[in-house]
Amino acid sequence: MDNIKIGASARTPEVDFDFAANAFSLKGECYPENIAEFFAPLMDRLKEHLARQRGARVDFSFALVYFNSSSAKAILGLFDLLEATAKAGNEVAISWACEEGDDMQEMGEEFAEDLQAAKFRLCPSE
Amino acid sequence: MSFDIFKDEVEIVVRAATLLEKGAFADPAAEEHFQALLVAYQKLLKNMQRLMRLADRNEAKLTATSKSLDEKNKMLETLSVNLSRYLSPQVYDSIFAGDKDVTLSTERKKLTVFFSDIVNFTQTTDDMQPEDLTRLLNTYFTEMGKIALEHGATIDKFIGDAMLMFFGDPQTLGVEEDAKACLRMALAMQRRMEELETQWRAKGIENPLKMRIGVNTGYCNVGNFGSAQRMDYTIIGGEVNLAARLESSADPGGILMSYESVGRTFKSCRAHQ
Repeated sequence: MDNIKIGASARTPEVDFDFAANAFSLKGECYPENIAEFFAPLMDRLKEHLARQRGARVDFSFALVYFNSSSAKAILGLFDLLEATAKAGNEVAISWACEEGDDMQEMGEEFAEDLQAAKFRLCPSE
Repeated sequence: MSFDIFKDEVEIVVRAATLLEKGAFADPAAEEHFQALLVAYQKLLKNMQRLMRLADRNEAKLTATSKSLDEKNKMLETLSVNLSRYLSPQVYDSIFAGDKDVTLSTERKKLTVFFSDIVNFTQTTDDMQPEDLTRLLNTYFTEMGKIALEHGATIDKFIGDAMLMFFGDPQTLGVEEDAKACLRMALAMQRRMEELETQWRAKGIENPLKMRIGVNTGYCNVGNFGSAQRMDYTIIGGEVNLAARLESSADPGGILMSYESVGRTFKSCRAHQ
């Protein structure tokens, strides 16, 4: 599967999906004008890829500085997908970049509440 | 008293869980479906609470940013109002409206130039206390400035007791109308000076200020002169010098106009040549 590499824009994060390495990342601000247009292709490709994984190691890194409510819903969807992948027997590691004590840390902790099989790690910057 | 906006939803979850605990379902498949629905509902509720918290946080941030922008805007507004006092309103408005570039550039235009000064100003300064003189001059410039703005003059500069103004840039009503506006302004100024003279005499000022005015219409270079760091919006040219020379030859309390200015204003104003 071809990798996805999209540069950051004023409203959308940098996307780096390396399917061969099972390493995925979203980095930057996220408040797209059209949430479906931005997330739907990413989710479709990811779903298709993760559904084929068996006992694989999957790393997903979030380094978001701001996201709006629609993006939050999409990110929660990503968490569900990663949790389902972990439950299917894969080793899923989610890292969540934040600054010590900021809103992003709080959001990460909240988003991770429902994770059972996927591993979640807060990565506060120094 | 606490207010839980999700009270109703929480009650639904509690009631549903109670039903499951009591084993109220005769059909195990129906119970399983109900259980799955409850889990999905709980998740939906939790996500809704998360999204609302996120929206509230974002809104709070936005409000703080907007407040800070408002404060900065207010500060810039005060600053620009203060700075505007150093510029002619027309020039200030043109710059702020984006009509004029703040670059070193000039244009050749036909303008009506106004030049004035106070008769025997040096003698007056010697005869008066500095405080009295300052008060007198401030009244004089304030009153004349007010009249100038009422008539649409571009105030170029105050040079000691002298005033240099012009009509025709950055806004113009046409050469003839500009000249007429200048003459109307000059007449209004001299009339006001007569009124002020009475008031000044009543206050014990023995030799009140008397103004001489020169008016000339002709081609001038107008625009930004100076350097890229410090520029002056002004006019230069022989026609400006002529206005100054006319002023120095005018009678105290009088207006001396060039031939072209008289020609441009003759039909509508009673000019004394």
